[in-house]
Amino acid sequence: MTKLLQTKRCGSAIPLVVVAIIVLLAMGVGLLSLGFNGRVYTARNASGIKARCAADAGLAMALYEMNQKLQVKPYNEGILPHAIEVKLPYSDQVCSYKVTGNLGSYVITSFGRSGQAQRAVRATIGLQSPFNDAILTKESLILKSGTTIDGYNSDDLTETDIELSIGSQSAAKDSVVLNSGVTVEGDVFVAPGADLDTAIKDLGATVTGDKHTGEQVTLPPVTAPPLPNKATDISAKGATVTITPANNGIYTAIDLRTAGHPGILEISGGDVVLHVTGDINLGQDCEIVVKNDATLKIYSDGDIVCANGSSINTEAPPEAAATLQLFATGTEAQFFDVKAKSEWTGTIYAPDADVDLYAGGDVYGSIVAHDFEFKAGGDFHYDKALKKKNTVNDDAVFFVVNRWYESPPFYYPHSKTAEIMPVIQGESL
Amino acid sequence: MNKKRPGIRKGFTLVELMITTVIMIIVGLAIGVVIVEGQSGWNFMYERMNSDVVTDGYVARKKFDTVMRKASREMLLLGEGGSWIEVYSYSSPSSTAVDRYSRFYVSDGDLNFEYGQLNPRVTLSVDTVCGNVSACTFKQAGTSTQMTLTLDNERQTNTIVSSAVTHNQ
Repeated sequence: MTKLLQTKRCGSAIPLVVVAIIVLLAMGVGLLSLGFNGRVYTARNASGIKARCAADAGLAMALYEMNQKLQVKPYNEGILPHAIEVKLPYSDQVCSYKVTGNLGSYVITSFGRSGQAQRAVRATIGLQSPFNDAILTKESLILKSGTTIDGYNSDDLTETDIELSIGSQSAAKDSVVLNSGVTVEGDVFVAPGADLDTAIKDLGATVTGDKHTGEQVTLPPVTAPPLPNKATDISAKGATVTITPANNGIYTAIDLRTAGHPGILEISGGDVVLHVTGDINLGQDCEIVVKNDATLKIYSDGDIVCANGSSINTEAPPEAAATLQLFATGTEAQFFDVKAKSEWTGTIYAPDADVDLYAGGDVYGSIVAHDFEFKAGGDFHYDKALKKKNTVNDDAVFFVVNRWYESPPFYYPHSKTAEIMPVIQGESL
Repeated sequence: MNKKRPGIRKGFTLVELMITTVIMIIVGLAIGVVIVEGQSGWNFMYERMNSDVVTDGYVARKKFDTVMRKASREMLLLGEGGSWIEVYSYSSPSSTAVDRYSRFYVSDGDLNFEYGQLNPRVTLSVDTVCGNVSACTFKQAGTSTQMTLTLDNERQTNTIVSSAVTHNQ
């Protein structure tokens, strides 16, 4: 044995083992490389998605700030929203945004970053009227049997093909109740995620458009404009009281009573604006009448209660629905019980109030309410002209994204968003 | 006293050779099995990550995502049972109304993407996004759209679900 060990013959075991180890190592490295590449690919993909979400979040933040800015009347363009390196919670996502341009052509540029991935989006924004739908509620919408919902355009009465929609922002069961014989010449929508069969209770209605889930818009609160405080109420007991623009102001209540004759409040002589901090009560057969030479806006912090035979209406309906506008501005739950003896023309913006509308004839206008029940004896005609009610100083208007563009993925050599933003803004997305 | 006769024994005994051969066979087989298993594992992983159904799925997801994100919220059409989807978009920032349509549909096992202009409707391009499509359905919820796409090349099945929110007015 010793001799065998002393021989100089080369064995083959060690080379074989070395070869086997090299082969196994090569395979191991190959597997590791494959796994690593897969991991890198996945991480890059996830980072891209996160960066894109961050850019979207920046856009949403900028839009929110613009809408907050819009709440302050009169609107002041002043300093436009911008932010650099806003860290999103519970993630490594960072976003930056900037609003540029001027009224009518605002552009939001938003940049999102996560890890190595960077994304940019750009959007032009515009104003949207709160009366974009014929009837919009936050919760329930009930239409009585036989009602027809259609549209007209008070700016162009020859226009006949009016697209309209009614709906609720709720996904709950029976959010929209269409009783038998109801005809909706347009779409009916409920909140995203709703089961259309249960959220829209169809008891034999005809819907010429689609039933679908609709976009959720945030209905902004309305604040009454600054007005002189009259520190009194408006009351008419068995008499007629006339209000003109000279009487614009803040009142504690409106109280119309019948005393032999019905109490009547006539609005005439121009644009009348009333902020009522208490309730508006109309006794039996009492009326608020908006004369043909006037318009009326009522900001009500309290309830509106109309007894039988009473009426809040324009003198000669139908007219432009913007002639009579009722806004709910209270901080607590409100109830608007609006009545009209015949046809009714107007708008009601009360996203946090329960609204019942009863008219002796057809109704012309648009309604935004928390809950709405239509009890009128006639049909509901949506005034398309209300969609144009969208200047910055109009009530309840809000900014929405009109055009949206996304840049292709890019990798800018600098990591600081402050350095990148000017590049993005100069880039054609 | 027996004297040893050194140098008389040369080579290995038959038993030594047999034992060595058996050990070599066992070791060789073991290494062979490891190599073959490793190779097939590598092939399997490579296939899972780079096969046509995987890369095609990735391309389809990206395409769907890009088209849907820039689509208009105004209108969206879905085929029977979600077999196809059509959305509308703007050709340029100066467009005042939607003037382009995009349509995803499956035909002969291919996912196709048709793009064209509106008013009048003219098809500008029809591209095959990916092949080997065994199932494809589209859904809509509010402003969100979803594509569930199953690709099958008979060796591998890949199902991808892609969701996107439409952003344009």
